[in-house]
Amino acid sequence: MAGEAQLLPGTLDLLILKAVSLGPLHGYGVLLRIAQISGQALLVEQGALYPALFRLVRRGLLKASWGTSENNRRAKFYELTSAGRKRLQTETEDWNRLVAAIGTALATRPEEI
Amino acid sequence: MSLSIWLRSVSTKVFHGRALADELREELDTHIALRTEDLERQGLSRAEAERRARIEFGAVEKFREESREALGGERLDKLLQNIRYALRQLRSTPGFASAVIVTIALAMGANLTVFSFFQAILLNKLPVHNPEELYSAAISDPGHPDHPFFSYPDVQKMAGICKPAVLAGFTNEVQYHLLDSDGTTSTLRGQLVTGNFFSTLGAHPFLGRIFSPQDNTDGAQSVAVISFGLWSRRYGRDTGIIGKRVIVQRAPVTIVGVMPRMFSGVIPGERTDIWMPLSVQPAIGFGGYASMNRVDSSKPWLDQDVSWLRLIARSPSDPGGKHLAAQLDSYIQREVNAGLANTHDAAERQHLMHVRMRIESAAGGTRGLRDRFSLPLIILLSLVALLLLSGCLNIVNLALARFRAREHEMSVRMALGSTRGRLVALLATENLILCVIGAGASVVLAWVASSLIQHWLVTAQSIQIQIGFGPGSLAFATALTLGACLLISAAPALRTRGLTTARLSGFRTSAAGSHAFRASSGLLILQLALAILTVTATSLLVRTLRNYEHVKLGVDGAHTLSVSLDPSAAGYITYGQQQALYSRLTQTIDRMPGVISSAVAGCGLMNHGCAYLNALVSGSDVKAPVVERNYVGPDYFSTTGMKILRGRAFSIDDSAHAESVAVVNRDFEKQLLRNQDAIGHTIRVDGGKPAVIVGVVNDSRTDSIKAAPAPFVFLPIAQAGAWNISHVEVRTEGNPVRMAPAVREAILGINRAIPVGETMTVEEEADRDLAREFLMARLGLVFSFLSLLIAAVGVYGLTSYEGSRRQTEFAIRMALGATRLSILRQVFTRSALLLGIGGVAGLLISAAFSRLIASLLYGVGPYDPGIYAVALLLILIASAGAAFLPSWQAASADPVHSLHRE
Repeated sequence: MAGEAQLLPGTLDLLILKAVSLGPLHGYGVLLRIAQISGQALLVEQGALYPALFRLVRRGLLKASWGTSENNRRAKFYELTSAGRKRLQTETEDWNRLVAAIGTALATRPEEI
Repeated sequence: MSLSIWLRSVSTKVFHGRALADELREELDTHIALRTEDLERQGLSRAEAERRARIEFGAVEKFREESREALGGERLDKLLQNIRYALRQLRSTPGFASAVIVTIALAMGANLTVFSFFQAILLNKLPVHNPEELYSAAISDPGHPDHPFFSYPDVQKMAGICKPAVLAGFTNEVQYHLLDSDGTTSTLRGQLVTGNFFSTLGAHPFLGRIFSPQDNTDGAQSVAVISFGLWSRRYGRDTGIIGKRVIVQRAPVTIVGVMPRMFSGVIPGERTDIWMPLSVQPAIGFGGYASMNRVDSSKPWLDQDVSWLRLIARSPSDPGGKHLAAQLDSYIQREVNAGLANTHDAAERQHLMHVRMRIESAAGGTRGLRDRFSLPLIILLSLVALLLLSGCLNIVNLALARFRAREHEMSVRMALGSTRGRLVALLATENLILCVIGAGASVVLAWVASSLIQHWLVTAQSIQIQIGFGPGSLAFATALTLGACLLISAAPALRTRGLTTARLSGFRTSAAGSHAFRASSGLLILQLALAILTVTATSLLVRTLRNYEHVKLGVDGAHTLSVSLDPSAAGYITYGQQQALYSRLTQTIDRMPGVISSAVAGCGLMNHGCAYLNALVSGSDVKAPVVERNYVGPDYFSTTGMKILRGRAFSIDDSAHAESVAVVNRDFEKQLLRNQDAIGHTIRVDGGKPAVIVGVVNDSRTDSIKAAPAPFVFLPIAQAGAWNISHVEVRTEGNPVRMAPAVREAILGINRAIPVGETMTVEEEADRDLAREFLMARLGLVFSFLSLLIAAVGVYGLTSYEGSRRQTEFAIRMALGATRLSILRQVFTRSALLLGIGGVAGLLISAAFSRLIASLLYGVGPYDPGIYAVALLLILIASAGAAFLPSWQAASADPVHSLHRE
């Protein structure tokens, strides 16, 4: 698949939190949502998604409950807990700071030193 | 991750493990199904879509495993896995596993047993409110034993000075006879106490009430508080007991209270059945042992200067009792100053100047059992601690040898990516499993052993002791288990540092091996030294016991039965009544088959403290001589087996109307008459009638087998005036124990109302005196056997390790022409060298240790060369035997086979 970007380490959790913050999703849904909101640029390795999801559940950032999918399959849905919501906010801020800092650093020209 | 989250996830995992696995499978299946549907919608065939979906997903099993770990509980998984693995390893080496378990079980069992006694005797506190505020006091007087007895006026005066502390007094325990309304009698041990005794202790009654100061006033109704034990034994826990009237000695007494089960008085090891206020003293005729200076025995002791009360004080918010000590000492100093004003004798003045009051904590009760057993228990505890250490050293050696055998396996594991931490955890798990199994077995062993010892102490020694495995013992056991486990895991854990994959190349360096051998050799030397220490200490104790057993009692212990009784309780008060009873008693018993003779006595043969009295002896230049006195019947000397050395024994002709006569012992002549013949001298005991000494008998150990003989005066009971006897001594043809029930029946046949107490042989009484020595010698023997065994196993283990380590070397040597004998000599000499060093070290340590126990020895010095030689020889034989076997094995291994294997 062309145009795919490699996920930076540690960003998968942030992406999952973001995806789920937009509405409860099952595992496969999280995958599709990440692809959708990143403009198909970020693809998550399918199998790797589940360990990440369970880790987030265990940390209390997500909560899971069984429900029915759009095509009537029993599926486990994930949604943000309030702790998850807070974490998403701080991580987003951290991320923006990091991106801004790296952007500034990369845009530096010799005469500015 | 916070602990609570981890716990929750672990518990979810443990309790819902299967359900979680199913959910996980379902979730992943759903994912693949959804993806398949999507791909189908993109135009793929169903089969192709499913194949693609699976490929895209990746390694399902791998992610499932990762997911499981992400769900938590992987540590528990690892732990379980470690345990499973460890169990498998241990099953594959049952010899190692059982050696460790047996060593730990025996060594820790010994520790727990001794500790349970240590705790019961030295650590347990009285079951009362704030026991650490309690103190006992004694007058300390240089050159004399502490004097712990005070008169009641003294106690009252001291109580007046010591504020805010409160003081109470109590007497020694004495045997009493209790007559119930149904006519049955029983023998009890009781104490007289001040009215505030229980309230000072902070002890509350289980039923009824405790004493109040009013109970201790003249003319108050005689009351008693009884123990839970007596209440259960005698009255079947009848709650209607309160208000019941019983007869103690001759006095009617009303029971007003029952103490709780745990409260057994203030003297550890003694059983107290009944407490009565001091005011009953004249009514029950209390007057056994007190020092009787200037006492009018016909008047109550309460207001007289009779030192008969021990002191117990409660001093709140006074750490260490300093305040109380100062107050009590000021009282004593005042008394001393009064004494100084009255005397001009320089020696007496010098003596008085050094009198002090000494207090000590009575949180665990007053000194009793503690005095007799604290040093022995500390010694036993250190011996068993060394035993455990020695056992652990063995296990360390075994573990090191096993580690070497597994070095290859460990290296492979490291090469495959296992971390050192994981390997150490694995080894530690194995050891922990062994330790826990061993500890479990040791608790059972210790429980059985201490129950047996407790039973022996209670029945044969009448020492009351409650041994239980409380939280203290459990904490001790846990600490020991963990300590032992750490000790035996540490050495192999350290050695994992040396593990490299280089070992895999098959190149075995013997340098590392010889380093390990050096460390193990050090451990072995220590072990041998400890074994010698245990054996020498035990030999000294056993010799001491033997010496005591061979002490000449001066009486025929094997054929004499001592029966305690109290005719006064049955109304024999006047001289006429008593004399008639005494001759009837001896006549009746003498006629019984199996009885040679019998005699009445005012006090018992052993441990029944005949009074110490002042005496005037004609022709003696000893100032204020003190003698022991006993009133005895005519056949007393032939009955007890005392030998008349000179002169004559008493006869029935020594009646009240005849000349007053006396018989003295050899020590009397030695101490009071400078070895002159005592016959013909006159003696006045305690202001009585002067009596002519007509005979001299051999010395006897009448107080205690451990005490030196003392001057003794025997007087005929017929010349005593009205005098209550306490014992009938009976000489039998066969085993006196078998005669006991018949003699008892014969006495009751004369009058059922006569309380008959214990019937004991003199040998039994002598044995009671040796409880401590018996206990130490017996336990010591067990511990010595264990330490010998452990040392032998240690020597065996190290020698066979050495043999296997150098197998290749030996094979090469033999290939080059060395004989089996030279190989045998090599291995054996090395062990023998260690034995030599260990032996010398052991002798040095033993000599140092023996000095500590010198005070417990009798008839044998702490440096007795014979004992050291025997101990050394014993260890050398045992360990040489243990070393020879593996040396022989090493020497007789087939060199071709060994080289081939390498």
